[in-house]
Formats: sequence, C-alpha cells, structure tokens
Amino acid sequence: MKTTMNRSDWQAVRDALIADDRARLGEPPSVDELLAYERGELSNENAERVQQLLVAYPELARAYATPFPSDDAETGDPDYLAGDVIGRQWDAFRAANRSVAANVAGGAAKGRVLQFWPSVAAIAASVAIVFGAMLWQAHSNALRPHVLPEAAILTPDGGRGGAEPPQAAITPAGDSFLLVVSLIGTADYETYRIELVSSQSHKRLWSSEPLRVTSSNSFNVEIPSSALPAGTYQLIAYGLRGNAQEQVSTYTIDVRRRPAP
Amino acid sequence: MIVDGGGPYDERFEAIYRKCYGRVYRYFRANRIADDEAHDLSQDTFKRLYERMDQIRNDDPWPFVAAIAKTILLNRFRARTTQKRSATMVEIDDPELLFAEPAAPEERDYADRQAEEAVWERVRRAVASLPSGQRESLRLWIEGFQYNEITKILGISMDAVKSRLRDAKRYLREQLGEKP
Repeated sequence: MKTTMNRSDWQAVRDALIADDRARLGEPPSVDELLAYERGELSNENAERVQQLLVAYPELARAYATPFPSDDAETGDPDYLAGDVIGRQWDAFRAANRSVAANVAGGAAKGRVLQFWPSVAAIAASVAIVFGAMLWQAHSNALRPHVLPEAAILTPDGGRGGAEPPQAAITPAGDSFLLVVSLIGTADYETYRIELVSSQSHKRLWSSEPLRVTSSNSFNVEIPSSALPAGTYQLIAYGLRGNAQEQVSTYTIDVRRRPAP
Repeated sequence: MIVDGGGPYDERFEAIYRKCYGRVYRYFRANRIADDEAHDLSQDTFKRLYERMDQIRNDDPWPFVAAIAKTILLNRFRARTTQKRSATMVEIDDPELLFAEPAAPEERDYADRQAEEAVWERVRRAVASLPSGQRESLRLWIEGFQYNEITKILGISMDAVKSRLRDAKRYLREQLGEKP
C-alpha cells in the first residue's frame, strides 16, 4: 500500500483538479478582465471568479504573474540582445511595416484627405433616409381608401358550349385590374385554390392560399398591371378536399397593352 | 525614420524601439516562449505601439509599451488554452493512429494501480474540501509558483500566502493521516 505522494502522483492529482475546475468554471478569463483584475477594478464576486479561473488555467496565471525584467541587462545575462541584433530587428520592422507607417501618417493628417469609412457611413445614412421615406409613403398609401378598377367577370372555358375556349380580353387601364372568378356548375368543395399560369410557358405565376367559397360563388382577384405583360394566361380553380385536389375549371384571359395615346 | 511613412512620431518611435526592444524580448523569453516567437511577439508589440503613438502622454513610454506587451502575451496564452479545449477529436479507428501506436507500457500490478488511484482520489477530495483561499494557494504552490507570484495572482499579502499554505498542509495531513 502506498504511503507517500511522489511527483507523478501530485501530477495526476493536479491534472484531475484542473479538469474538474475547468469543467465547473468554463472558459479562461478575457484579457480585459485580467487587466481590470490587476487594476483592482472588479467587484469582489468577479475578482473571486477570476482568481479561481487563474488557478484553473495555470499557464495563463504564469503569464499574468511574471514580472517584467529590469532595464539593466548586460552582456552575458540570459537573453541579452546586443545592439546589432536590435538593429537587425529594427530593419526588419521597417521593411514589414511600411504600410502601417503610411496608414498612421494618413491618420495624423486627418481632415486633409477624404476619410473612407466616414464617407461610406454618410452614403449609408442617406440611403437609409430615402428608403425610410419610401416605406413611410407606401405605408400611408396603404392606409388610404382607393377605388378598384372595373371588374372583368370570368366564366369557365367551354362553359358556353363552343369548341374554342372563350378569352376574356383585358386592357389594364390603371395600376391593377380586377378579375371575378365565377364557380359555375362545380361540385361543392371545402375550399378552393386558384392558380395563374402563363399559356405560353405553362409556368405557374401565382397560387392562392386555400379559399372558402363566398355566398356569390365567386372570388375576386386583383392583379397589378405590371405583373402581367401582354399575352394569354389561364386562371385555374382547384377544389380541395382533405389532402386531395381536383381541377374544377379554367379561365383563359388575353391581356393586352393599352395603345399609346 | 520609417521610410515612406513620414509619420509625425517616427524619430521618437525609433528611439523607443531601440531602447525597449531588448526588455520586451526578455519579457517574452521569461515566459518560456521560444526565441523566434519571442521576436515575433516583440515586433507585434512595437507595431501596436506605432499605431498608438499619439496616445503616449508621459515622457516615459515604458508603462505604455509594457501594457501592450502584457496584453499580447495574455492573448497568446488565452488563445492557446482555448484552442486546446476545442481541439479536434480524432477517430480512435484512425489507421494512422493504429500504425503510429506507441508500445504499450509495462503492465503494473493491478493491486498497485488500485492502491495508487485510491490515494489520488483521497488527496483530490481532501484538496477539494479545503476552504477556497487555502485551496487556491495550495493549487498554485503545487504548480510551482513562488510565494511572490501567488501574492500577485491572488492579490493577497505574503503573510497571508504563508499562513494559508501552512493551514492547508496541516489540514491535508490530518485528512490523509500522512505527509503528503
């Protein structure tokens, strides 16, 4: 049975204690905390925490505690640097830090040259003001009443018995146009969904959320004029029941541009 | 002068560099930093000093230089400690590790190992149960810190360090029933 502790025993105990401390206390203190601790600026609670962390991170504690060497080193002292060695270091420093020197010199001439970051900040502030004004204007417009354009009432393609699908010709007169999608002769579904598709590319341009049918059995769809260039489009109504959906009717529209005055 | 710089502090800076470089270098070396890295850290110190020359208010620039050097040193140790804690984990099945596997140490007697681990655990518990002031002083003493360094780290007097260590050792002897 062991009765005394040798160096490796102490080392094992030390490692275990450090591991315990680090797991309990977490990351080492920041340099700012250490310097504040050194100046006596921390509260008692924080100072105690820094002390515990220094014990848990002895390498850092050693760096913290090591005093500066005196200024009277002489030839033969450990790590003494002769003048020629310092001269070579100085030459290396000059070569490596010309850009730093130029920047610092530029900083000293502050006011004589255009400063980059202040300029960027000024531009950013101007852009922020412009966008803020635009946002405020849009918000104000949204709160004002406005009159919707005359509605185009759509009936399903093939509903009139003709071979050719009827095309509702629409010439947008304002910022938007209004389409009334009528559900005629369709089965009752829990909800409906409407899609807008380009007839040329068959690309889906827009899809509504599930819509509950209204008492008039129709949906009003307002479309910004700028959203649809001249061309042929289809509105497709789907009936939704549970997870299933069924295409119930299609409405073809022919969007035309208003002739120039 | 630093050529191309044309800075307003160049002559003074060169004088400070030549006067303080050796002292800064010896400070890093005193912290067990290798020669090459000690020069690198010294150069970093003076680079930062040059960027802050306009902030030196006193005739004696050394406190300013020393504060920069200390910050650089603490940052260096702190970064290393943090790196160690977040070191990349290696798969134990890594074939390179298998091929580089060192020879197994000579197997010791199981009873000896058990006894040794029991002692470690007793000491560990005894140290952990010390009052915080005594525990911290003892831990630093175990790390090999001198009394004057412990006073600096814990912000207490030399007498306080001595009495805490004396009490801690006495407590451990009582707890362990032996000389630790």
